[in-house]
Amino acid sequence: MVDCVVCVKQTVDVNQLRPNPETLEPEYSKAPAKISDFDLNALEEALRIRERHGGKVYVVCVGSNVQQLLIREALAMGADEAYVVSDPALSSADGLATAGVLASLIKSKIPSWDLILCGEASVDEGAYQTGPRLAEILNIPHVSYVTKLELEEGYVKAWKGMGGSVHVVRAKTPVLVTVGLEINTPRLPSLLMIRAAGKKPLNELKLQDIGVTSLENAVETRRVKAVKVERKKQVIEGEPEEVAQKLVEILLQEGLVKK
Amino acid sequence: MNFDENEDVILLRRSISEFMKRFTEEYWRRCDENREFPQEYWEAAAQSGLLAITIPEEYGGAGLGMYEAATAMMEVARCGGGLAAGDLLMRTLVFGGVMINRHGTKEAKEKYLPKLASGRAICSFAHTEPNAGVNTFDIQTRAEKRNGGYVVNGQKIWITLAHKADFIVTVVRTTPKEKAKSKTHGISVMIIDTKQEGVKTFKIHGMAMRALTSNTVYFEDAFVPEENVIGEIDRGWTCLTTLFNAERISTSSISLGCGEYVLNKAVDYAKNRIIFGRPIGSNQAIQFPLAEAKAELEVAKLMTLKAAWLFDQGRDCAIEANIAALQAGRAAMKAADRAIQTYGGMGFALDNDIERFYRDIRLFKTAPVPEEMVLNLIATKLLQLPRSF
Ligand SMILES: Cc1cc2nc3c(=O)[nH]c(=O)nc-3n(C[C@H](O)[C@H](O)[C@H](O)COP(=O)(O)OP(=O)(O)OC[C@H]3O[C@@H](n4cnc5c(N)ncnc54)[C@H](O)[C@@H]3O)c2cc1C
Repeated sequence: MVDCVVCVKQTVDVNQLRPNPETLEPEYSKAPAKISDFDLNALEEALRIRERHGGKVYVVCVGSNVQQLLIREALAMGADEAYVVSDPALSSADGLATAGVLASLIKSKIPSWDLILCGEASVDEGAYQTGPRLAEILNIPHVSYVTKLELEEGYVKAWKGMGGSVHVVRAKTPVLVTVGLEINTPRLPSLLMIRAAGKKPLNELKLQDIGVTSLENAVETRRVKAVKVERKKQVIEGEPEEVAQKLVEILLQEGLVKK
Repeated sequence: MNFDENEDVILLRRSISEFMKRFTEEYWRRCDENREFPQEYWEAAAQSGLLAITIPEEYGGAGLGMYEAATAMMEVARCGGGLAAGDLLMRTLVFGGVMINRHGTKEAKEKYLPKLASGRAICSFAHTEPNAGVNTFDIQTRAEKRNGGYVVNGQKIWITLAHKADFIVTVVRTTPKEKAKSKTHGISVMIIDTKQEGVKTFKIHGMAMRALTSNTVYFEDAFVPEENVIGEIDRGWTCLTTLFNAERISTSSISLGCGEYVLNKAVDYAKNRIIFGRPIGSNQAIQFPLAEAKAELEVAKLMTLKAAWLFDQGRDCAIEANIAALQAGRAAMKAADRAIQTYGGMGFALDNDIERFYRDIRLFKTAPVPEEMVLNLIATKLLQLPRSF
């Protein structure tokens, strides 16, 4: 039996996120909310572990204005129980603050666990901080960028993607693992699962319920702005050979390809 | 009154829109061009429970109603699957899930519903004949009692997917029209297994719904066991009204999904196509008709969902379902027409998928019920004007 905790974050669908034409700031409120993609991979991996080894899958989520529906969706995918800390104070929390709240939540509410699974980053901020920081706070080992995961008695064996190479590592449980899109394809909740999800426990909490009185950020975000990209609109004319030659020159000159 | 949707329905819609990402526009275009059954979609739909919506839990279904079925059909159509994706769900959810479940015998339910819910069987519905389309009472296909069951002879036309179907829910005469006690008397509905000598199908190459294909079907001494009779012999009309209402709700839902799809494409194009130095969508001549199409789709959706809700309460919804079908069909047609206009010449290019939707959306002005017959119904039943025929 392996009990897993999966950390999920509510983000926006970045494909539908547009900058304000004047201020160039992203208009978060106009984009639909969703669970961050990598977190669904983490949840899928936990569900597969439960299918093989038994145990429970807990979903934990902290953020501001968390929509119950998204957490219900995670339950519909197959998680057993969910804990949500939704508090306006978390709207500007960075990886450090979020990891602190997650740690308090896990310590105070999850009776026992062997493995924590996180997405390696979130699709909206891409900071790659929360998982490793959470492991540090809980004082457990962590393995990031995992593309394949196996469980052995008291250990995990993880294939860790390192760009050009793969490192296979073993770590003692309890352990925290972060994953990306390569590890699996998350399942879609079937109709029967959706129906069943309505009856699963979804616990909604406030910061004070888990003993958090203050939040500490490591980074202060001053401004988020889209970069205005102007196309160069260069037209190359001539015979095919000439055009190809010129194109290669331009690409080299711009540093878009290397010799 | 409360227009809030429950969480299950919202989750169902979100899950379907994720599910539909597996099937690209190229996929549906290829099925249409090659008149090829969307096998991968069918199997995936079965796996994710979309074919089980209206089938009771005891037969492996989800035990939900037409509201959820309508939501599903609308969403698969809206996400690019169009008529083919929606109609495929309707066959199982309505002709099987609703019809066999509400009016079939226990034996028929046990035999067919689990197979339908899991996608192991395809079902089709045969009503139209060469000499009887909107005039159901003139059908000539007849069933006679013989050998502990019925023997069916006759011809049906336009029967969608009959060539792939494992069984066909068929409308027959069990008492000739001249001997019937009333106008509606003498009509029966039966499940005819297609895997027998006496059932032959021939494809018709039509304009719409090319991925599914309609057929001429011949019954020559096709045998139907007693337990395959749906409803009562000679009183099939009662259960046919259930089927027609659910079918209207379904076709409205599919129309609405198709309409939303073409409208969204048109809006996108209108925002990005620059002519005379500005997006064409900034011209009111382009934007107002799109706004009108949106308004009409929204209104038709309300009526569709109302009809579905009434249906699920077990209440009569003939008027609502017919109004929904009429309005949704028209709103979708307008959206498709305006989408072509917005796209200009590009609207005619196969690669833009608008022409496929245009062809498919046109179907619902004619089948399963032509607009004239809906207007006849509203005029005579609701407005109580004298009947013209
Ligand atoms: C692609 C496709 C798929 C189909 N799939 C199926 C299927 O799976 N199963 C099935 O059973 N059928 C199917 N049909 C048949 C469809 O339901 C019929 O075509 C439709 O009901 C119309 O019947 P009809 O063609 O016999 O028209 P007709 O009855 O010949 O009518 C022709 C026209 O005359 C009009 N008209 C007739 N009487 C009146 C009146 N009194 N007042 C005003 N107008 C009148 C009609 O409205 C119509 O516009 C399909 C058709 C198509 C095109």
